[in-house]
Amino acid sequence: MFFHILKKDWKLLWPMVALVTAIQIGFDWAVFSSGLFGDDAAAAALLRPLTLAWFIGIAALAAAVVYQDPVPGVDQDWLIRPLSRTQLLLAKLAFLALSVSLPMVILNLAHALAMGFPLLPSLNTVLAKDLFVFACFIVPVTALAAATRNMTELIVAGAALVVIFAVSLSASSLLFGADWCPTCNTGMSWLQHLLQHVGVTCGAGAMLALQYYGRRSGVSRALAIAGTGALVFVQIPWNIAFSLEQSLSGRNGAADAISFEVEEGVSDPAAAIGGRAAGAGAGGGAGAPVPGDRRTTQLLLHGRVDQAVQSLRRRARADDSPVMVELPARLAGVPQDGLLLVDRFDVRLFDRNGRVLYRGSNAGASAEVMRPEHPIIDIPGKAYEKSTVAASHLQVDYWLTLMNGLAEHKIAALDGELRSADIGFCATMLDRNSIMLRCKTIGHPPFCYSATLYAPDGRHDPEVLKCIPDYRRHVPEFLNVLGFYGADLPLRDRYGMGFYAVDESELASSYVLLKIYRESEHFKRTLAVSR
Amino acid sequence: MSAIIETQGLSKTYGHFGAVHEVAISVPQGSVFAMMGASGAGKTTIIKILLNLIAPTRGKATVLGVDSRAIGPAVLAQIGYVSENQALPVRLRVEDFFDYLRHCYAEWDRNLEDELRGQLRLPPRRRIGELSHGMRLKMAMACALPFRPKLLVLDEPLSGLDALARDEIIGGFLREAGKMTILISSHELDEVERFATHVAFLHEGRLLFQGSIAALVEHVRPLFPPLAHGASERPSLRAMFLGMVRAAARNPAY
Repeated sequence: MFFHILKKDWKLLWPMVALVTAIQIGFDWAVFSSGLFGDDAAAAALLRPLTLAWFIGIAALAAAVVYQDPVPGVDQDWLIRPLSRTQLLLAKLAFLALSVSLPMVILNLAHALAMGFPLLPSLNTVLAKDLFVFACFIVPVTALAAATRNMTELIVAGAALVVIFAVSLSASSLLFGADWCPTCNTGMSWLQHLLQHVGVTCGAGAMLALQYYGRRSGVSRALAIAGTGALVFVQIPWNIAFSLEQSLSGRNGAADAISFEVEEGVSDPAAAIGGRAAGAGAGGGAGAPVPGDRRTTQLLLHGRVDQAVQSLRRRARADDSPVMVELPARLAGVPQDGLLLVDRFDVRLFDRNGRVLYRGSNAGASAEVMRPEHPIIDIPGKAYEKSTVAASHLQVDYWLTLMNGLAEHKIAALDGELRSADIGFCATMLDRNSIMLRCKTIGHPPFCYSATLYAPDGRHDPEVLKCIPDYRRHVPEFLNVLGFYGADLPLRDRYGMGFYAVDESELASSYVLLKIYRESEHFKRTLAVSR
Repeated sequence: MSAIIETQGLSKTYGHFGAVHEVAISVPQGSVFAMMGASGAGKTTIIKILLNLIAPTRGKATVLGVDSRAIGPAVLAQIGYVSENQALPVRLRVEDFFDYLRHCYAEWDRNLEDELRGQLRLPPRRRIGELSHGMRLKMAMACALPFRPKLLVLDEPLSGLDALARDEIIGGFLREAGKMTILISSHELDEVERFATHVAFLHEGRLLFQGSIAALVEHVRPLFPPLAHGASERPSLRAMFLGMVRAAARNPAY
C-alpha cells in the first residue's frame, strides 16, 4: 500500500514538486553565480526572494502532502479504509524525502563539485546538511500540518507559535535578565542549539505518532505550544555546557602553563576595585579604569569598528554606563602563536565581611579575544561607585579557550586565488579602500582567523582578526552547503589614526597572510584581587 | 441470528452536552437495520463510535466481534461506509480513486466495480471535486461495495438527493440487501420503510425502541387504538415513530 499512497500523492502534487525543485535549482544557481564577490548582480539580487521561496515552497509541499489525507476530523475517507497508519506516515515522509531531499542532495553535491571540492568530503557534508534540513525543518512542518486541517489552520498555528516564542523570550529575559540564555553568543551555543534541534525533532516525532496512531489533535497542539515555550526556557546552565565542551574536546595540557600573575610594583592593586570611572580623568596605569577614549582608539586601531562604536555609545550614557576596569594582572604562559578567547567571565565584589556587593558577568555579550596584559572587565557605574567605598575583594572567574595556529597561507593581494584542504577556496580582490578576502569551504568554516596585508619586504598593515567562537562539530545549515568567511583589509585609515605600511603602488607584489586558528583547550582560571 | 454490531450503555458527551445516552442496540447479521430519528438524535455519533472515528465517553461497542476502539485495517476491510459528509479526495479523478482503492482491499471485485460504475454512470475523467452532491454519494456507494463487505454502514445516504438519485441509490441498497448486513441511519422514514427489517428509534440521544418491524408493531400497539382493536394494516414507520416520541414527551420514563 505504501507505494500506492506514494503514487497517488505524486499524481496530485507533481506540479508542486516541479515548482519546489525549480526554486531549489534557482537558489543553488544564484549562490553559485554570485561567486565570492557577488560578481553576478542579477544572481545576487535573486538570492533574497529565492531564500524566502525556498522556505515557503518546501513548507507548503510538506503540508500539502499531509493534507491529501488530513488527520484531524472524522469525515476523511481514508479513516474508513483499511490503511496501515504506519505505511501512510512512512509514505508521506518518503514522498518528502524523494521530492525535496533527493533533489536537494543532487543540487548541493553538484554545487560543491562545481566549486572544485572533492567528492567524499562534499558528499559527507551534503548528506549531513540535508539530513538536518529533513529532521529539523521538513519533519516539524509535517507534524504541524498533521495537527491541522488545512493551510489556513497551519498558517494560523505557525503564527501562534511565533507569538508564543516571542512572548516566552520576553518573559524569560524579564525573569532571568542577561542570563536567560547562558550559552548565547558564546562558542558553546551549539550545545544549546543541538538540544533545541533534538527537542524539535523528537517533539515533531511525538506529534506525528500522536496524530497518525491516536488522532490526538488536542494533545499534539498542546505539545507544540509547550515545546515552543521549552525552546526558550530550557537552557543548558553555563557550567554544564562548559564541562561538556571540555570533555568533548579533550585535555591536552596546552593550557597548564597559563596562569594569572598579579603585577609586582603596582602601587595599589586595590585601585582595580576603587579607582576612577572611565573617562573621568587621565589615569591609564594598571589598576585604573581605562579611559574611554583610549579604549575606543584601541578598538579602532584593531579594525573593530562595531565595538568602537558600541564603546562610544556606552560612554555617551551618563547615568549607569559601565566602567571598564583594567585589572592589575597579566596572563602568563600563553603560547607564542596562541590566542585566548574569553568565553565568559563572572565578576564578584565582596566587602570586608565576605558579603557579595556586586555579582555580574558578560553573559549575553559576544566572546572576545583576551589581551594578556591588564585584562579589562566592565562593571556598571552604580556598582562601581559603591565599590569605591565598601569593596575589599574582587574575584573574576574566567572561562577561556586557548586557540592555536592551524595553518598559514599566502595569497596574492590582487586577484589571488588559493585552494587548500584547511581553508577551502579563497580569492582576493581590490575594492576602493580595501583588499577583499573571501573564502568558501565545504563544511564548517574556520571561526577564528586573521588576515594581514604584507609588502614584499615584510612591512605589513595592522592585522585584521576575526574570532566568533563556534565550537560545533557539525554544520546545522538549512540553505548553504558551503561555508563562507572572509575579511576586508583596509588600505588606509579614514580617521587618520592608524598607520598602514603597505602602499597602494606595491599591491601588485604584495600578499595577504591568512592565519587559521583552532581551539586547543578549554579551561578556567580565577583572578583574585584584595584591597 | 447472531449480532454483527452490539452496543452496551453507549454514551457520548461533548462538555455538558450529552449527544448519546446509554444506548444499547443489537444489529442481527443479514438484517437491514434502520437507525432513525430527527436531526441531532445521535445517529451519526453512534456510527462514528462504531467505526472508531470517535471514542465513547462511556459504554462499549463491538463491531464484527471486535471492540470498536480496537478496530483496525483488518476489520475496516470488511466494512463499507457511505456518508453524506464523507470527505473524498476531491482533487483525484474518479478512475484514479478507484485505481487507488483497488490496492486497499484484498477482495476487490473488478467486475462488480465496472458494473456499479456503469449503472451509476460515473464519469471516469472527472475530478471528484467537480461532481455534484448526488454523484459524490453514488461514487461513495460504488466505492463501498466492490470488496463485498460483511457490513455496509450508510449515514444519511439520501440527504439532499433528488428523487431520481434516491431511486438509483435505493435500488442499489435493495440489490445488496440480504448479501450483507446493512446499518442505515436516516431521518427519511418513508424511504427507509421500503427495505428496513429492523429499526432503532432515537430521540434526543436516547433509544426509544430497537428490534424487528414485527416487534415494533407489537410495541406500539397500545399507542394506536385501531391496532389495539385488531386492525390488520400497520401504521407507517413515521406514524409509529411520532407516536413514540409523543408518548416519550408525555412520560419521560417511556
